Amino acid sequence: MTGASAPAEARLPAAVHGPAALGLVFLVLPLVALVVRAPWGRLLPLLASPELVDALVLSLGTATAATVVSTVCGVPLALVLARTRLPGRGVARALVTVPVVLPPVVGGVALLLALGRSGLVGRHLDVWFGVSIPFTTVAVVVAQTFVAMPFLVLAVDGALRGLDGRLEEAAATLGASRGYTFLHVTLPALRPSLVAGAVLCWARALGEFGATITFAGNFPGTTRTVPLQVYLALQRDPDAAVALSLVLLAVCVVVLVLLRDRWSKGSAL
Amino acid sequence: MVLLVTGAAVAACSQAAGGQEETGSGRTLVVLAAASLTETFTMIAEDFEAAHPDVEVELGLAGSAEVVQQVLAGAPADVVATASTSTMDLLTDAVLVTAPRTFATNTLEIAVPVGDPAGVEGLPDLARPGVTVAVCAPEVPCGEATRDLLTTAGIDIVPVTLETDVRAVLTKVRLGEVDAGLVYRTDVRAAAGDVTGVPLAPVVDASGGAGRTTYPVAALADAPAGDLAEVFVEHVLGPRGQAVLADAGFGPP
Amino acid sequence: MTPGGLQARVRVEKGSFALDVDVRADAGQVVAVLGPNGAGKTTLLRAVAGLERVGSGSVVLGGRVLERSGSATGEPDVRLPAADRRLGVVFQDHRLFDHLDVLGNTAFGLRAAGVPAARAREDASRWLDRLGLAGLAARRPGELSGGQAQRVALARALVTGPDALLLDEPLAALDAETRAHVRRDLARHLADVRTTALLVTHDPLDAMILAQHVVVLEGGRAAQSGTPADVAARPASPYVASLVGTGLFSADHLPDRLGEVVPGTRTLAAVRPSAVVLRVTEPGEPSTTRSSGAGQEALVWDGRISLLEMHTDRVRVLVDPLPGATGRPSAWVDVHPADVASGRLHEGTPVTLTLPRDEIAVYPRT
Repeated sequence: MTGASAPAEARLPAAVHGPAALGLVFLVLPLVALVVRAPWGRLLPLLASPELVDALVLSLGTATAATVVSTVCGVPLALVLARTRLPGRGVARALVTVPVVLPPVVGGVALLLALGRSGLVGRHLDVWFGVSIPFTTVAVVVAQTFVAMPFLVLAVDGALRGLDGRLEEAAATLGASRGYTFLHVTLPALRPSLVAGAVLCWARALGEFGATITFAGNFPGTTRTVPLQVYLALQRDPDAAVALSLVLLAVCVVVLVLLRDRWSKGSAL
Repeated sequence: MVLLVTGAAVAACSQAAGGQEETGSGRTLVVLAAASLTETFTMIAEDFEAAHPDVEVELGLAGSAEVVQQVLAGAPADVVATASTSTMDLLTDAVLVTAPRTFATNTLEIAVPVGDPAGVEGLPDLARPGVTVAVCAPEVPCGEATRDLLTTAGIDIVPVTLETDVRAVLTKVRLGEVDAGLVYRTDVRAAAGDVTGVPLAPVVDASGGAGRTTYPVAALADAPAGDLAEVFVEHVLGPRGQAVLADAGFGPP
Repeated sequence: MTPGGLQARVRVEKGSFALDVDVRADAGQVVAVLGPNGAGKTTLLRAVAGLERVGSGSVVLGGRVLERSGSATGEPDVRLPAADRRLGVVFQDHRLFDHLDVLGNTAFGLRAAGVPAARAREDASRWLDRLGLAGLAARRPGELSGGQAQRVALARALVTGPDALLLDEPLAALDAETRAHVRRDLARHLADVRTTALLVTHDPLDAMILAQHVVVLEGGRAAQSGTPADVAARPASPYVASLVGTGLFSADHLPDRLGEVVPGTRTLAAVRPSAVVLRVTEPGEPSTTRSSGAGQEALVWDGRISLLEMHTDRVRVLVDPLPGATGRPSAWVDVHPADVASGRLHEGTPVTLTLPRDEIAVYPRT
C-alpha cells in the first residue's frame, strides 16, 4: 500500500505538468504580490495597533470555536448521511452543500431571518430567554460555522463512503460493540479526512467576511475579525489593509504547517 | 450587500469596456457612483439617454471608497460621483479629476423599525442603556458624518455595530435587529414603509452643519467619452438632475 | 478451546438469486463449502456470521441458538448481533486495522471485551508466537505481505477463543506460491487448535487439504457433500466433476460390462485424467475400438484431440471419440507439457487412448 505511490508517479502522463504548473502559479501569484507590495517600512507601526491584536485574537478564537462546533455536529451528521438508509438522505446531502455555494452575504441575511431578534427562532430566544444573538461574538461563531461546517461534513462523508463498513464488520466479528468500534476503528480510519476537513473548515472560518458582517455586525473587540478589519482599512489606507492581510496569511501558513507536522505522520494525509 | 454591489460594479465596467468597442456610431458613457445614489442616478441616466439617443450610460454602483479605488486602479470611467469630499479628494490629489462640483447634500436622520420599539425620539435616546444602535464605521463617508454629528452634539453612544456602508445600517433597522440606526434622509425615504424616520434637531457647528454630507461629481480628466462626460455633469447639476435628487430627499448643493 | 458443533440452515433471497442450504460441522471438524463465484458461498458465511440478514433458517453453535427465523414449530425468532456470536472470521481481504500495528490488531478482540491492555498484549503476543509471527508484532498492516497479513488476520480471529472459525476465501487473494505455504500453515493451525471451522473456497485444493467434509454449492444449493476423497472420486454431476478435475461420463451405454452395476440402473463412470494413457496414432494404423489384451484389462479406443488446457505442471487435453468408436466417451487426459511443446500434440491430432479398468469408478447416479 505504502509502496504504491512511487510507481503511480511514474505513470503520470507528461502533459499534466504544464497545467499543474499553471494552476500553482495562478494560486500563488496573488500571494506573492501581497508580499512584494507590502509596505515593509511601515509594517511595524501599522501592526502595533491594539485594534489589530484584538481582531487577531478574536479571529483565532472564533475560527477555532467554529471548528469545534462543526466537528461536534458535523461528524455525526456525516455518519448519518453516509451510513444510514433514512429517506431523504440525498436531499439532505444537497442541502448541506448549499452554504458552500451560497454567497456568504446571503447566508448572513438568512441567519438574521432565522436567529435575529425578530427572526423565525431568534424571536423566541429573545422572548423566552432574553437572549439576542446578532452583534455578539457568538454570532461570529454562528456565521463562521454556517459557512465552514459543510467543508468538514463533505470531507468526512466522502471518507466514510470510501470505508464502506468493511473494517466495522471485522470489528463486530471480533466482539466489539458499536460504540467501541466507532471509537477504535471508525474514528481512527477517518482521522486523515477528519483532520483535512477540520483544517479546511478552520481556514474557511478564519477568512469569513460576508456572513459575519451581515449577521454579527462589526464592532471592535466583539465582532470585528481580521477580514472585517482588512475591509475597513481598505476604505482609507490600502497599505494598512495589505499589512493586515499579511498577518492573516502568516498565521494561516504557520498553523497549517504545524498541523501537518503534528498530524500527518504515519497517516495517509 | 457590499460584495454584491461591488460585483455588479465590476461587471458593469467590463461590459462597458466591451460595449465601447462594439457600438461604433453609438457612444457609451461610464458613470461610477456611490451606492447611496443607486435610485437617483439610475433615473438621471435614463433621462440623459432620452435626451441623447445615441448615448448609452453604463452605471457602476459601489461604496464611495471602492469607486475611488476602482478609478485609481485604472477602471475605464468617464464620470465619478461620491458621497463625500474626502473620498473625491483622493482623485483630485492623483490629478485624475479637476475641480469636482458639489451636486447635492444629504443629512443624517435616525431610522427606527416600524412601530419604534424602543421609543426613540431624538439623538439623546440613542445613548440610553438597552437601546441597540447601528451606525456606519468612521472609515466610510456616512460614518465620518455620524462621528462629526455625535461629537458636535456632545452625545456619546455605544453602537452594537459599525457597518461598512449606510445600506447595511438600513438593513439592520429594516429587519428589526437594532432599535435605531443613523442613516441619510434619502435612505429613510427610499425605505419608507419598512422604517420610520426621526428628523434631528439642527446641530450647527463651525462648518455650517454637522451630520450633513456633500456629494461631489467630476468628469475624469482623460475620460474615454471625452466632452460627453462634462455634458453629463452639467445634466446632474441642471434642473432635470436636481429635480430627481430633490424628489429623493437630497438637499440642494 | 472447547469446540461445539455448528448447524446452519440458511435461506436468503437476493433478487433472482436464492440461497437454500444446510451445512453441519461436527465439533472440531473443518467443513469446506466449495463452489464457483456467485454460488452463494460468501452469502452463506456472512449469514452464519450475522453480517447478512437471513430470510429464514437457523444457526446453532454448540447448542447456542445464534439465529432462528420462520421456525416451523413456532419458536420465537432469534437474531444475535455479529459481536455476540463468538465466531472468528477471516476475510478474503484480511481487513486489518491500518492504524494499529500487528500486536494491536491481534489484541483488538480482547481489548474490545474489556481485557486490560497489558494482559491483552501478552495474550496476543503468545498467539503471534504460536503462529510464527512474533517478529512482525511492531509492523503496520501496510508493511506486511499478503501472506503475512492473512496469517495475522488468523491470529486476530483466534485470540478471542471463538467457538468456531469462519474462513472466507482466506487464500484467494494470494499468489500461487504464497498460497501453498499459507495453506500448509493453515492446515497445521486448524489441526492444532481443533476448532470447528467453516471454510468457503472456490479452490478444490483448499477443500481437499484443509477440510474433513466438503459441501459443493451450485446455484445456491448443495450439489453434493461428503468427504473430499468421496467427492473427488465419485462426483455426482458433470459440474462437480469439472470442479474437482475428474473426468465423468455416463456408463449406461458402454458395451463392456463395467463393475458390479445392476443392469437397468443409470450409472456414472469417473476417471482421473492422469489414469488415461494417450498415444499418438501412427498413420495407416487400423482403428482400435476394442477391449485390449486377452484378459481385457483395459479399454482402448481412438479419438481426436479437440481441446488443450494449460495447467501449471501439466497439459489437460480433451479427446473426442472418432465416429467409429461407438459408445466410447469424450475423456480428459493429462499429458506432459513437453509433448505439447514438441509439436506432437495439437488440436485434431488422432490419438489412441488406453484406460485400465481398475481406474474406472462406476456408481449409480443419484
